[in-house]
Amino acid sequence: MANWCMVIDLEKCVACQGCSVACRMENNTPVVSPEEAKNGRAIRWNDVFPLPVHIAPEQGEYPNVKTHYATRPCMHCENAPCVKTCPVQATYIDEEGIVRQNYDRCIGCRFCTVSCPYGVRYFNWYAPQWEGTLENHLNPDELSVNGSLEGPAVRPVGVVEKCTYCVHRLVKARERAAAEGRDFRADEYVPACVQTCTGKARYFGDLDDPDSTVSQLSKSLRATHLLEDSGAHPKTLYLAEG
Amino acid sequence: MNFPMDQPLFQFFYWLVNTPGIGSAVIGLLVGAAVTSFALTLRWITSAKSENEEALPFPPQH
Amino acid sequence: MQPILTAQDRENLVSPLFKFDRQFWMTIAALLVVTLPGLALYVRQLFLGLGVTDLNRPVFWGAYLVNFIFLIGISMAGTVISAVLHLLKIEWRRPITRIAESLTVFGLMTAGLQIIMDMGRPDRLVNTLLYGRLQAPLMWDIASLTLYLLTASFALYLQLLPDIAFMRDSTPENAPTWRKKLYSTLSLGWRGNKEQWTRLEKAITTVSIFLIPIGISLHTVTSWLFSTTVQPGWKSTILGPYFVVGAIYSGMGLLFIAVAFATQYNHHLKSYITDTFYKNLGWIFIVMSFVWFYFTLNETLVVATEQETLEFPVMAAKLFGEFAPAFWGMNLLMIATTWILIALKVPSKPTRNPLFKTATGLVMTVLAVVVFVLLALSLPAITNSILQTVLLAAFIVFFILALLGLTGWFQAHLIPSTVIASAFVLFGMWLERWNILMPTLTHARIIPYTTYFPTVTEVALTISTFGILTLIFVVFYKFFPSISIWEVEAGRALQHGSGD
Repeated sequence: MANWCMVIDLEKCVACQGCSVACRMENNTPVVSPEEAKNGRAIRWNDVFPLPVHIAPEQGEYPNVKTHYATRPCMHCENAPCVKTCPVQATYIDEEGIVRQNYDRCIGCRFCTVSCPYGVRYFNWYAPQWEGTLENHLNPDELSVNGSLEGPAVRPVGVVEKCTYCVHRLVKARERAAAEGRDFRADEYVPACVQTCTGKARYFGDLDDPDSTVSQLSKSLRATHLLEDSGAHPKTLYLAEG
Repeated sequence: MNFPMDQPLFQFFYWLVNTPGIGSAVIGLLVGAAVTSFALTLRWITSAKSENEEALPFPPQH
Repeated sequence: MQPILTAQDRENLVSPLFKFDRQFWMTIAALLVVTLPGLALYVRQLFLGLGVTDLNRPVFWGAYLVNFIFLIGISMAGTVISAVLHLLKIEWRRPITRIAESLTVFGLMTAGLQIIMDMGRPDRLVNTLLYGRLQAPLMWDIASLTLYLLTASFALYLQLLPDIAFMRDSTPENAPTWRKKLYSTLSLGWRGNKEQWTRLEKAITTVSIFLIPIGISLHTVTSWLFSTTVQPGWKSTILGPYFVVGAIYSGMGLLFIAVAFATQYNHHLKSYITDTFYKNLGWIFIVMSFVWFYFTLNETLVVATEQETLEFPVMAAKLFGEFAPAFWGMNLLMIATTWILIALKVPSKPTRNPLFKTATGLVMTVLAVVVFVLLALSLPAITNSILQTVLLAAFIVFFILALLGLTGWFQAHLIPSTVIASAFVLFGMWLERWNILMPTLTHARIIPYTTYFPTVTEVALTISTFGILTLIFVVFYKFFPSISIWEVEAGRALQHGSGD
């Protein structure tokens, strides 16, 4: 079975936030008002932010400033703390290494959100709503597993959600290959952020396949993870700057 | 060093703690056992018969 | 043989249960006024979602969880007092065992309410029954809480059984029929013969033995909700024992307040719950104080010394950051409590020294509070570090003088002082739970620091919770005697026996 992994080259990332926007449009992430966003309730499955987070990001004097940014999807940890603490298995690691989310079973206890050291999980504080004509652009895709909603269709209030490596695209690609009577190839499936990335800084593929791009990039000297020693064994790889 | 997950016993434990529904079943068993023991204890106490049927207001001092 | 239970006893303990007088209805009305607004706001929260709180990312847990841990903590009182003192055959526990045990049961019930209030989808609560995963610490908590609630309820019922039979036999003629039926059904045909008593005592001893590990397990498991995560400030190995100690400490505080409330509500109870109880339990209270300080020192000193990069922001927030008022306020409350409790043990000497006058103490208290508030508010006018140092020194001086001045008053008023000390402990322990949750949540590692302050909904629901707790307490003790009649009689028989 595949072991899906994303590699992000921070040297190439220009922090254009195209990935965040593409993710929002692909996954029907609700928008919140400016006051809610200031209170920290904005939902951004893929988030672009300065790194390190708590130190002044700009170095140097204008116009010779230097800023470092990171773009962060879910780490899809191999020893995910969120999976370990969910009391009802609303989140679980599937056989292909993706940490999945079951919106129909989630009881909203938010233990997973509190366990995640990376802050990739978000909660629907109110029922999702979209402003103006945004509602006309919802992604109609829907992924149901054993009758439970897991895909990008609109989530109800009171459940936790997060980046799923666009797993509905994986299912779609597999079904298309089956319908066309051929084998599924790993490069038929890319998450929306990888597809959109302006600087071609994101790569996606099967980490267990020695010939894949991600597998070869993982051997790079620049390859690192966020919070390497959190104990969660994060899978999403970063190629550090410089 | 033998990694525990290679052994079937630990694979069974992993299944036990990970499968949804098993946790509820275990808790249900514990609670059921507790409640049953409480009910049986109450029956054991109230069904006690003594030769001397005098009603004491407090336990007999030993 | 002298009658153990006199007519005066019956007047004190039984008659009030059948008097639905003005005082009772006023109390119920007042409690409803306090409780209902929160419930209305809860219904609003059910419709709108948890957005009505101030919870945000990364502060996903807030006042409800603090209340949850706090309420679980205070429910340790019953176990320690009733079970441990029973097994140690300590006589002075007899009048207050019932209040202690019932506090455990009611506290656990309201704790369960907090979790339901905090869930994003309470309508899916059944999922925990259908899909529960044993690996999740929350399931351990559910298991432990349910087991403890059931066992404590059973213990309460066992020890209530002879008194229910007593009520069945002592119900006045004019009492409503449903009430007589209630007692006769609940008494399970208790006749009080020798064999029944022997078996009852065996059962009580056995349940007491089981209650202790189950009680300790609940607080430990609650601490594991935090210490099994990888978050700084939470992944402390000491959290298990720390929670148990804090639980016993706060449970005793609540017990004192509940007993004082009960004796104020029904003055007859004062002849059974005498100063002896306050004095004896006061010793254990002092011991718990020092044990609590020992654990807090361990927790703080170790992390502050290591200054590990990812851990230290959380500790710094508590020591001198935005949680400093809450952290140091908690410590000051506990210091004041310990002082009061120790003062009560020291024989008082009349003195002319103005330092020890109550008036001085009160003035110093006001000054200390004012300076504390000034420091806590971190006003821009006092960013000058010399001024802050002066204020800090002034606060310490005022604080010590306040305690010195009020010592005489404390020594002269045993029960009010104990109640004040208990209130300090309860407030301090609530702050302790706050200080465990909030600094870690507001200082995430790769999310910008945020703030959290409970909204009207959360405050109202907290008040409602305590209103519900008191309501259950008041109504329960309208139907069942608040003093364990048979235990008091047994105690008297023992005294007469040893005196003969």
